[in-house]
This record gives sequence, structure tokens and C-alpha cells, in this order.
Amino acid sequence: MLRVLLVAALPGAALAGPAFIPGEIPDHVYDGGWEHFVGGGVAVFDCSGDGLPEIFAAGGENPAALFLNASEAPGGALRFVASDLAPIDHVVGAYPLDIDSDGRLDLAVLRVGPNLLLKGGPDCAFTDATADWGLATDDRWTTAFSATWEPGQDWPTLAFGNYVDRNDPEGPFEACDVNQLYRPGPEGYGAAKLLDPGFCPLSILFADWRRRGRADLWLSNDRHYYVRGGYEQMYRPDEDRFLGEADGWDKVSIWGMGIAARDLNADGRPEVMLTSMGDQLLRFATETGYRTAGYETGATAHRPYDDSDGRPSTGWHAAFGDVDNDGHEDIFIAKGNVDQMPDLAFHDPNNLLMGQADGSFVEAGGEAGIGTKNRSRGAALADLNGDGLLDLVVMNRRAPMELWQNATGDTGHWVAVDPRQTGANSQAVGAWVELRAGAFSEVQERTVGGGHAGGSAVPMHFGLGAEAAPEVRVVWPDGSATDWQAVPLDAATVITRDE
Amino acid sequence: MRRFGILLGAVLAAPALAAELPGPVVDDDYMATPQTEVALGQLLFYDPILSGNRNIACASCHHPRFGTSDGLSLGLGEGGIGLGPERVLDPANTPEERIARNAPALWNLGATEFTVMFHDGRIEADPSRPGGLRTPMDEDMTRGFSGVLSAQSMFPVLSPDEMAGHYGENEVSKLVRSGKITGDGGAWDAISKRVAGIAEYRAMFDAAYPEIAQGRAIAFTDISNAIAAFIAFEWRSDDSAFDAYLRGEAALSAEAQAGLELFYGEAGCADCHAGAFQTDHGFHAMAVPQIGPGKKARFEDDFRDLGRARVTGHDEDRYRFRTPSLRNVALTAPYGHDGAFRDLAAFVASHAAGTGPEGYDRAQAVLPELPGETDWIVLDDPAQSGEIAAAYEGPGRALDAGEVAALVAFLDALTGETAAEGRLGVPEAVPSGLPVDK
Repeated sequence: MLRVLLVAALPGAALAGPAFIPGEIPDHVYDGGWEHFVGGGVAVFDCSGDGLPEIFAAGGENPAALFLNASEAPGGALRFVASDLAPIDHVVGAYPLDIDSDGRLDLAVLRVGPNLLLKGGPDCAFTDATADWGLATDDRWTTAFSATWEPGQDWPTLAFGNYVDRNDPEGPFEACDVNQLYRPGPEGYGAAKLLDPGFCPLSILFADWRRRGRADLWLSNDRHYYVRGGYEQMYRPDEDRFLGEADGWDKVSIWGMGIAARDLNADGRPEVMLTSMGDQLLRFATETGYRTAGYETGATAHRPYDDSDGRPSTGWHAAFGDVDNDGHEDIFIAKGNVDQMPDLAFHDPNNLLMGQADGSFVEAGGEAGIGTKNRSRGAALADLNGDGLLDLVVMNRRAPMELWQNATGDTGHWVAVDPRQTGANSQAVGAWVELRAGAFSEVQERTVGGGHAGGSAVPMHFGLGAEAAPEVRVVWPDGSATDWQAVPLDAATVITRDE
Repeated sequence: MRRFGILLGAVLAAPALAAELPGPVVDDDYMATPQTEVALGQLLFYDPILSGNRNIACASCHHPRFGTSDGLSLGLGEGGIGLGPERVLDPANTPEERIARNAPALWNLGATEFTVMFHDGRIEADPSRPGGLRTPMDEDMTRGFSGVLSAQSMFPVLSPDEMAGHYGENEVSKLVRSGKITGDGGAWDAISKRVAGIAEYRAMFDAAYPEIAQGRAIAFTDISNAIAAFIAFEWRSDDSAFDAYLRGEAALSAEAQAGLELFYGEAGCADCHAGAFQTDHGFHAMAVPQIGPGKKARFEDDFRDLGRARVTGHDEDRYRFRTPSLRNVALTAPYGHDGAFRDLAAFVASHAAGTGPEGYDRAQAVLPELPGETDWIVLDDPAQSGEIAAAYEGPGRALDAGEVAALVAFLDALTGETAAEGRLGVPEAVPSGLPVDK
């Protein structure tokens, strides 16, 4: 079962494998004690208005940092410089979204202690709008976040996932805190609705998993702390309930650390990548539920692939993206020991699983140059220099964060699509972008959440392989749709819906 | 006491052997064992204070009554009561699993050639690594231990199934499960503080370690160094009939001599069981049937034990286990990395022939009752058992009954009386006041 998959290139496949070269970014480390064994997320989004994303990086006991993108576009060497962000400590992670629909991205900042909503201003200036927007905060240990615009709402519903209840004298095991759902009201957000029971989520994601026209919340929970009795949860906000077996929801128990979602087989239902300890779980959405991919799919990434250690891996952030634009989604997984867990690998290389034409995945982290063996946590796959190739940023615990420029040769065609609305929900969170080009088709949902403690708000990237005549249709969050329209090849296109 | 009092004046005529006989064991083969450390280490070795729930000592699974092992195929650590084959479940604290591997014997670990510890060698001297050692803690490993034997003693206390206990049961188990091992407030520090809280121990540490007498706090490395000194002293075993033979002091019995000639000759045993202690300290796949829960973490749902490959990550190391020393092997039943064989002759025959799981008699296992246990899952899976059998890299030689008997007679000649009886023995009491397994 553990046999290494054959890596022989398929006839006719691009010969050049993925390749990354280091970019330039100031030293920044996610560090701290037990409460920062988890977390270490990055938020990737453009706050300067130049079209190139910046990076907000959690610091744990170090102050969080905002790095400004000083790269030359398109395709210049990646270079980020420090900014004068006011110090914020005990940051676990952050997610970019336009909370007040002013067209500028704001930040939901997760902390050990009161969370923050930072309102984005011009030139990457941020002001603390937590109180202005009425968010009642507390002292919980927040490790997960997601947001959705419920029908008819101008403001997003915010979900915060909380880890261990540090005030439980019997803890930390079997002492998971409750989670919180904040809905907008006339006076702002106010107090949270508690989602109980909580099972120590390290990643949560609102997505329209069932394609019913509105989002459910997946909570990926860490068995290491709930120990027993817990499972992966799916919360349906409009019915205020967790789905159960009658809904086809099987109560899987994993050491959940991160969620990534992407439709891999063009059936309109997103597959899910759940990171954990040992086997990582790629689960295929079916009519009736989820089916976990077997070893033959090549996505379990369960132990270091460089034959340096036989102990199992620890997975954190997961992200889908077509790194070589060959028309097959690839998967990045951040790896690293929690801190000192001697039953798990200590030098645990990050994964880059390259999607193959037959639907399987082949490890290429080592040859791509990104198979570093730090205690990695959060990460992002995003085009940082406007060349249509997905670059990589990786946050590490106890080691400097990493920036990697995608320097893959012989890549295929691509497009990036950025759906926008002029009224509420400027980024069209909940929209589905459908792309077709010759025999190729793919759908992607615009979401906020998932990953490990951080997310990206950037144009949605599609690799096309050799296909050169892409057309796009956008299904807006309210279910209305654009016509199919041709979009420029090898370029980013903003598609704006006028109210 | 030497078993043979007659000093032979001439070197015994050596038969023609495929492998050369080792030279005799000498004092310089062993580490120094200062008596202040040894005396301290003896009490620590038998004191349950080192376990999270204060209920298991090193001696619970490494007892002189059972050849410094426990007489079981696979032991019960946390959640067991009693000693040796009488060890049974604690109904108030039922363990989830057996210990995955047989408790290894502790003979001659003070000999400096022993630089690889545990069945899979997960602790080993490695000059290329920081601190000169490869351990499961890698570069986070605490410094200050005297050598691999001391470093080895630092790990059973971290194992939830062996000594630490589970989940929220105690402060040590909580720290271990939280991933907090080294440094102030880590699991090793928590155990050290327990020990340091006992005046009798403090006085002994002062006597053994001048720096502690001058005010340095007791570290876990001091505890493990003392235990290492005790193990090295207590179970140095070099007065067997075989030792006398190597020293030219006495002949072996005729049957043992015949076994020696097979062992160092055509049976090929000495290809791996080399040197004065019958070990090359290497790793070999010997197709011992896999019983028990397998070596895995709680989040893994298989029952495999891949042996050395779990450490190295090399596929060619699958199902390889460290060659054990055979000193006092007659005292250390059951046999194999998982103790699958209670009978030495049966083990020798299977081991030499490489019969593997085929035809294995499950009555050979010595297992305390554990409801819901999954002891035979790998054995019952032809694919996995087939992999284990196929990995065999031993001599593959079917021995006849006479050859087996001769080899067993030779193995009996490896028993040394002094270590088997013990030098300091089992203490009447330990400073914590906790009960001592007699």
C-alpha cells in the first residue's frame, strides 16, 4: 500500500516539471508557546490597488506583519518589503474580505484573545473597526474563520472557530470550546450565536457543497483535543442545525487541520482536501456523500516522500491550484511537526502533488524546490507577479516564512477571472465561475475561509493546457447568471455585475 | 563466580568455522559505572515515580525475574497490574492496546559497542547529527545525557502506552500529548521535579553529581544517566561458559560445542549475530510473524509493524529489526521483536528456515487477555503476511532436530550467572514510598 507510485512521464506530457525559485521577503517567524503550536496563517490580497497582492502574516508571539508587494509585473522577481503596520500580537491568522462592501478588502484577524476586524483604507492603511461594526469579542482562542453573504443581506455572516477552552480546569483534552456565528443586524453584529458542540476546529469553510444555492459550513475538527465523541461537522445556517446521517453526512473523525475545496471532475460538486496526521484525505463529492480517495490516487501524502524518515506526516494548509497550467489541478500541502511529537516526522517536507490526466497525483515537492522541512503551517498559492503562474508563500513555526516564485517552464495557457458586484458583497463571494475551452471545463466557487488560518482574495485562476479559446459564465450569489462570454487568453479579466 | 575453575593451559583447538570466533570480553569493552550513580540509578529503575500515573517503573517490564524483560510476548504498560506473565488488566484503567513490541533485554548495554537502541534503532549514535545522536526528537533533543543508553531511558517515560499514561490522566500525559517535551515546563522537567521533591533522592543526586551539589537543578538527563549507569553495572554479563571458552579457561559441553560450530559455521547465525555479544547491531528482515497492534500512532488505522523503515523511511528497511544480542537468551523468552515464540527451539528453527507466518502456532504467543484486542489481524491477512515472508533475508536453512538442540545448547552456554542473579538486586523500598515490584 505504501509503494511509491511510478513517476514515469506520460507520453506527450510536458517534460518540464514544476520549478520554484526563492523570492525576497523580510525575515518573519510565527512563534510562541503552546497556543501557537497551531495557526500561523497568511492572508494574500491587494491593498495597494496596483493589482499585485500583498501578504499579511500572523506572528504568534511576534507581531503580525504586512509585506507590500514590490515585484515588477508581469513576471518580475518576487520582492516584498515591510510596512509600518501597527503591532498586533497573538495573531493566529487572517482572512481578507470586503466586510462593509466599500470595494476595499478588510481583514478578519484571528487571535488568542479578542479577534479584530480591520477596515481596509487607501494605500494599505488599516483601522480597527471591530467596535464600529459591533462585533462583540471575548477571550477565546480562535483558530478558524469563514464568511458568507446570506440571501438578502448586505453584510456577511461571520463564523469563528474556536479551539481549546483554556479556562477548563480539566483541559486541555476533551475541552473544546464552542464556535461562534455572527449575523449582521441593524446595530452591527452584536453578540454571537454559539454553535455547540464544538470539536476544536482548525479550519472552517462556507461553501455551497450541495449546490442548493446557498452555503453550508464545514468544520474540520482536531481529534487530538476532542479525543472521542467528535467528528467533522456540517452546519446549515438557514436551518440552524448540523447535518446528520439522514442528510448523507457521515461522521468522520480526523485530526483536521485544513480544508481546501475544488471541483476536480467537472461534475459541479467540489471535492475536498482535508489535512490531518498521517493520511491526508482527498474526498470526492458524490450524489450521496463523500468517498475518500484511496492510495492509488496518490494524494495521501502520509509520510515524508524524500525517504528521510518513516514516521507519519502532519498536514496543515492545503490549497488547490494549477501550478503548471496544464489543465489539471495540483495540490499544495504544508507539513510540519506540531512541535515535539516524537511519533511524527520532525523534518516533514511540504508537498506539491501534481494532477495527472488520469485523475491521480504525483509528488513533485522535492524536484520543484519547495520541499522544505520546517514546521510549516499556513500558506497561499497565488499569482504574486501577474505572470499567470501561481507563486507560493509558506508560513513556518520556529523558522522564517518562505516565498517562492513559480519558474516552471513549458506551462500551458491560463486565465484569471475576478467576479465583482457594485453593491453589497463586492467580491461576489458565493459566485460560481464556469469556464469552458474546447474539451476542457472547470467550475470554481468564490469562497472566504478554509486553509489553515488564512486565505486569499485574488482573481480565480484556471490553467487551460493547450486550449486557447476560453469562455466564461458567472453564476452570481443570487443564482442569476451571465451569458457565456469569451475572455482574453493568458490574462486576468474582471467581470462586474451592475446592480 | 566462574562456572569452570580449571584454567586450561593451551588455547583450545579451534574447529574450521565459516565465521571467526570473537575475542574474549574485557573490562575496557564497558563504560565506567561510578557507584554513587549506580546506587541512585537502582532506586530510580525500580521506582514508579517516573511514570505519569506513578504506577509503572522501568522494572515493571524489565525485571530480573524475567531476564530483564517481562516474560510476555507483548506487555501491558499503562493499564496493567502485576508482574510478568501474571500481569493482567487493571479493570479501572483498561489499556487501549498492548505495547507494540517485546520488551527488550538489558544485558551488557554498558558495553560501548551498543550504540543502537530499540528494536528499530530509533536511537543510535550518529556523528553526523547535532549531539552525535539520532533520536525521535532530532535537533530538539535535550543535551547532557551520557550516551545512547541514557538517551534511550528518556523515551519510555514519554510513551502513553508504556509509562506516561493517556490524555488528561496526569500532568505528564497532558504535556506529552500537547507536544511539550523539552525545556522548562516540558514532560521531562515535570518528572524531574517530582524526583527532586524527594529529599532522599536529592541527597543521592548531590553525591553523584558535583554540579547538582553546587546548586544546579536535577534534569531528566541526570535521572537517565543514573539509570544508564545502573543498567550497565547491574547487568554486565561476561561470565558465561562461552566467555570461559573464549578466554581459554574451559571447554564447552559437547552439545554446546556442536552448536557453536553450527552457529559460527554452516547455519550462518554469526552472519548477523556477530561478535562477542552475538550482534552486528544491524537490521534484518527475519519474517517473524506479526502479532499485536503494530507500531503505529493512534491516528493510523492499520496494524503493521514496518520495523526499521518506520525510522529511516527506506522501503528496503521494511520488516527489518535490530539483531538482538543473544547473551542470556535462555532467560529472555518469548522471542522475536514481537515475542511471537515462547519456545527458543521453535524460534530457532523458524528463524533459520525463514518459515515466517506460514504454519505459525498461535499458542506460541504469551499474551495477557485484552478484550477487543486485534492480535491476529496481520497474521490473518495473506497479503501482509506474504509481504513479511517475502522480505526474509536470513539463511533460509531448514535445521533438523539435532541441529536445533545443539544450537539451543550453545545458546544456553551464553547465560552468565552474576548478571542473571543481579549484583544489587531488587531494592526493598524506593524513596517515593511507592510499591516495588519484587
